[in-house]
Amino acid sequence: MTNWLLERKLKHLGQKADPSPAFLRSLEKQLKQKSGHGTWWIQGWKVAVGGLTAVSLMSGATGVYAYNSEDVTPDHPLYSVRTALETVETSMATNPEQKARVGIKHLERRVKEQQVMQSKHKPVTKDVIKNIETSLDSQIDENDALATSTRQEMDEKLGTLKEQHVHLLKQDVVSSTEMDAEIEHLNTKIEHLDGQRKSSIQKGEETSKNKHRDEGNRRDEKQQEKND
Amino acid sequence: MDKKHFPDFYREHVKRVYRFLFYRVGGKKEVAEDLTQDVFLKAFNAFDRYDPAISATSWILTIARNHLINQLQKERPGVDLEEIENTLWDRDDVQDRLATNYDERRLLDAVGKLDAESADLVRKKYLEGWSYEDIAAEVGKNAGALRVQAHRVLKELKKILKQK
Repeated sequence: MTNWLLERKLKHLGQKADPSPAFLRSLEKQLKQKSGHGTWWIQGWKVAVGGLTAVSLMSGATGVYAYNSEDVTPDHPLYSVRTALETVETSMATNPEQKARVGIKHLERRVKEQQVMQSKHKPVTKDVIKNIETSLDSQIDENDALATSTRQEMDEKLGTLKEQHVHLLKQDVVSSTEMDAEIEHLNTKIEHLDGQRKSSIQKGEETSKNKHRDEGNRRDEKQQEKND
Repeated sequence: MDKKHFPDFYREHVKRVYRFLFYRVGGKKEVAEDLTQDVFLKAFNAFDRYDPAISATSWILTIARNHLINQLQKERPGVDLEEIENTLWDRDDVQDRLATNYDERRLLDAVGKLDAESADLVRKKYLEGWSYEDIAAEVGKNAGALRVQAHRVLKELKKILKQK
């Protein structure tokens, strides 16, 4: 049994201690009544406005670029457009299987973004890593709602993505260690060149002094000859 | 913190609080539901005094823990919450409500055979759904170190499961 499978079994066990949807709805309603409807209504509007913005962007070149380009990583100005479009994509999935496939597709994009950032030596922040890992965990939960055969297929894809993510994380540690060694080597080289530069300056100063002295001597000799 | 943020806070933490209470009340759903309701009503009333600099999980679970202790003390004066937490794995009532097949029971039994710290990590991370950062804040360790520890704990669990 892999670690991942054991984790999944434990999480599945943990989910058995989840509250029922009916209880969650009832409590949310109670809290809504206590807070006044405005608070929750604002949340609803945020989702609606976000969706409308995403749809309007999707029809333009910016949206297409943001959605499809590999260059649009979490540090890119258009990244929020990309994630907004993905939110719309998720909301358009109408059944658990579609939701799972869209979820996995988005996860593939997250791992790809991590790979692109690392290949360009861009720092992959803790928030980016946490987002990937939270999404992986959430997707495990989403997969539970699927029929057995589909769940197996989705779980396998998820397992592969998790392995890719962990492999990339390890590479990042290795590459930063290699980079440290490279920096160390360059620092040594710079010190050596600096030493060479200083000694050549000193030599140059000595040569210059000698030259002035020789010129001075020749002038004196000439003067002496004239006097004679 | 502004109460307009409470809906997001509630949605983020409600399952975690419920699970926290569920395990500690012997897996009784109705009791866990009542306590969860009480906890979030208290949290809502105190939300404008909540400082976001404090971990949100720590804050809401402190409210949950205190409320639970008060309720337990009413029924059984002198009850020790730590003792309840340390014997979770041995409780048939929790096992009966959670583990509905042979494999799941074996898994819970195996967790019960881990040392206290490892079992606590499994409980928090996998059964109660805490993040590594929240566990780190609670136990005073680094989140990265906890990830490594979790990896070792899973290896240990696999060994225990193979033994049977």
